[in-house]
Amino acid sequence: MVSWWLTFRKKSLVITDWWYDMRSELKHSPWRQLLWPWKPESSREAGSAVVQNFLLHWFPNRVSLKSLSFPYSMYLGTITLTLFLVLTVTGIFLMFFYTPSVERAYWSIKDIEFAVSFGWFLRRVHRLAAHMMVAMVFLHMFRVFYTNAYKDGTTVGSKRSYNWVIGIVLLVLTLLLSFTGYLLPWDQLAFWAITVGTNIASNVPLIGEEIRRFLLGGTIIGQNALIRFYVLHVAFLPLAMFGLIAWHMWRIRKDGGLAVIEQVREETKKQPPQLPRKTKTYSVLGIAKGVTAQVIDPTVLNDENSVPSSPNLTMRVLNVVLLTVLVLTVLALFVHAPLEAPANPEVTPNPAKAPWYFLGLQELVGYSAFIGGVLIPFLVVVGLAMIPFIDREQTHLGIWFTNSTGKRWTWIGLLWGFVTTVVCVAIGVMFPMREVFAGIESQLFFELVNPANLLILSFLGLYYVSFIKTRSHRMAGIALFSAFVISFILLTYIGTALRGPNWMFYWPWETWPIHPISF
Amino acid sequence: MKRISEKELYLLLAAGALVFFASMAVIFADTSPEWKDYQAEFKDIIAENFGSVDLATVPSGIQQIWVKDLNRVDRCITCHQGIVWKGLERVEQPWTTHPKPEILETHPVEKYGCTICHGGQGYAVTEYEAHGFEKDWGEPLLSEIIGSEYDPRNPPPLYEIRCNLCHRYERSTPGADYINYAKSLVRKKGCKICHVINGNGGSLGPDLTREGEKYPGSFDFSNFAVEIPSIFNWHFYHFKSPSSVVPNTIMPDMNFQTKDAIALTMLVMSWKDHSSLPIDYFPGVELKEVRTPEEIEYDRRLREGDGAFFVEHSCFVCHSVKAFDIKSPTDKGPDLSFAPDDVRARFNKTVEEFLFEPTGTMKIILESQIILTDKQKWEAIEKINKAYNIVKNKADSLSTSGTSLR
Repeated sequence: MVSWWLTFRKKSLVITDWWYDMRSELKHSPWRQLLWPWKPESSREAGSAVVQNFLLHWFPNRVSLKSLSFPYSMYLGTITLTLFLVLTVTGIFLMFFYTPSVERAYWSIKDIEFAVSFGWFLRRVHRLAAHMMVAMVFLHMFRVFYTNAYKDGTTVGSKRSYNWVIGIVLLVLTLLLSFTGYLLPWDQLAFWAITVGTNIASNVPLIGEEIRRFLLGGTIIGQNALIRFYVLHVAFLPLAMFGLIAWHMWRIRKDGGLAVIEQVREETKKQPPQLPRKTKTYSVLGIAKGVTAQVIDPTVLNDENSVPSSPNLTMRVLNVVLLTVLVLTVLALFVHAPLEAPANPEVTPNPAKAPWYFLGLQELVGYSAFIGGVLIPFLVVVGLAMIPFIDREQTHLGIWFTNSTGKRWTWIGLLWGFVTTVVCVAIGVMFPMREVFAGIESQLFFELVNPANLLILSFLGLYYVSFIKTRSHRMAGIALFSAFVISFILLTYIGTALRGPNWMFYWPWETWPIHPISF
Repeated sequence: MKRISEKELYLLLAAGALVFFASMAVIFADTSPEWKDYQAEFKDIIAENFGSVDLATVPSGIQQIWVKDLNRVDRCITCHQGIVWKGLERVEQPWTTHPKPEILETHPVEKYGCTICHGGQGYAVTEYEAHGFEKDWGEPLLSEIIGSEYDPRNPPPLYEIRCNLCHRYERSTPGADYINYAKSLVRKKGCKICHVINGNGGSLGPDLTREGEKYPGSFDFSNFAVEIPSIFNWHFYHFKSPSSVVPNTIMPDMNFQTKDAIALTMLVMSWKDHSSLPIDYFPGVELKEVRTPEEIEYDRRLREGDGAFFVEHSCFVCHSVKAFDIKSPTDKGPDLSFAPDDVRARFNKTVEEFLFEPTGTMKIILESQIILTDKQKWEAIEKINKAYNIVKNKADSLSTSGTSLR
């Protein structure tokens, strides 16, 4: 076995050598603009690669080893962007075959499924990538929060707090994109998920009905709603998304790179200052080839702590893209995209559920429509956007969980969120407020007294206690955020898997009543 | 210069190779559907059976019949290529000739397609989906596979349900034996006394004109044990014993046998909303049921004769009134002509006392189903006495002439 491995190593080294030989061969061939010819001899040459190639322009000249490290960022943003591009490409193909009309929408999906070449594959990939993108956006946000990466750096113009807010807007856009796409197949699943979703929106006080009418272009989900969702889904939202993504990426460069770079900066500060040297490989003056300005390195990257982006980062990104595409392709071979019976406004499926990422909210709407449908989503979005403006402690940027205290508060937050969520759902299931206080008619009373409010109060209490204990908004934020994360996951799971017909609670081992069939 | 790590390169090679193989798998999956095998086999069959046919003229690729009027796209002929060929009767499915060419003559495939008669999912081109066995496809192929679920030894021809989509107003349709039998039961048992069917009938029970349109979820299976909770089974058991499926129902138990119940289930399931079907698809009848002159005359006598009161107030659902020539379709209760004797014998009351203070079943009926004013009750008593006298007089006159009535 060992000898086999040694042989394999030897052979693979030969392959690597061949790989490098090939690349230096190709370097001088006419294919160099298309293939990957690059074996940079110097930092300057590597830098020029990025400057001279349009596609590589969004990479920095050099990238620190810490930014490159997989455990730091897990490339969740790259994966999200890849999924968005996959969605764009598959979406454009699907647009050729889909008809956004009430009469034809469902049947055009049937055609895509059965008669269009690779239609089934496009549809499956589009659906899988959409679900994964929603999940990845959340995970990306979790990563940025826990690594303390939403804080402004020390370089001029570094405003990571802005980028965090752009990220929150991108999260909302992603949910809207997924939600608008949900209606398009025009089957029972689509129709009733949008019914539930827009009914949640109609709980906004005073203007709720107006919002619903604005979303649907009328009072019912019909042709107006379909064309509205279609235009939002294929034109308006993707364009907004493209613009904001470009801004998001540009800001990363403006902010001085990933937050972990601040650590590199601190380390180099500790070392004795160096003489000015020729490190910058291009400048405004350097557009003419070969001219370089001699400047003091504004960054802290050197041969020890960084590598040229080309080929190190480009290769890494290519790998992430390939692996994402691989996972999608393999999953699409086995996971069918469902298409239920055609939409029928007269027949309500039981249970009728919103898309999975709204099921946590739907669970809370079961306790109070206003609290679960309006107040909590509002608090979540606004609360998330405000994080960098409340926590202004400029230490430990780019470190997972900040420090050991942060780790402890993460665990405390997770535990607290788990317990309080379970307790709240248990109260909701076992002691429905309307049965406990059967004599009370007042709607206001039930908006005030219900498990969802208990959950909010328990979270605020957690923030208060952790802040008193640590005197740190970062630590209190970690505790609250962790409680939010676990509660979101738990409520989504309960809404998805444990709620059956009539929104009754079923344990995983309990079977739901069998749905009758025609024959 | 640091060299890029080996691991990175291996990962790239591995990921690239795997994406390549996965793409190959996708291409293979898309370019080798099962219908291509069936089409290749069909060409062999044609070559074997008709040596003179140029195989290049046999269509290949996905084939479909688009029936614009019915808003249907049927791709069944992608695999069932032999349907319109003559001379493949002995070949097995899916290549065989249509087993009933005489039906195809009156129902040409260009005008009807396949699924309007057979059920199934016309859009699909894979067997399981095309035969409509998917969970969410409400119209499965009505073949023996499903029929044998309900009667394994003698699977009912469920496709007749779909014949009756268009043929529902015909008194009798050649070839649709179960449906014809069920229609005769409807006439004989007087379903329309309580139910509106095809636009007319009584109002004691629900309107059945669009009964076949009801959604599976709207049937209640909680009161009886059944292996498959299907609409078919619900109707089947409901016909056999209404009260065991719907407790407290007022629908009487008609003592239907298994075959009766199956036929009637097929009939009610065929009563769909046909407003989307073009009018010229209905066979040449007026859009109402045809009735014989005798039936129309009998109906007129029921509604206008001396016993009209008992018909108007639905008494005759359970009670015949022999004196007025009213025959109850169920005969659940005693003949009202003998009511004075009957009531005296069973309850030790006069008819007046019984009508104003009823007991037993009649108490429930008179309190919930047939609510009569005092004036109507007196009218009923008067009519019953009249009937009683008629029968008595007839009996007397018969007995004086030496014959016994009872």
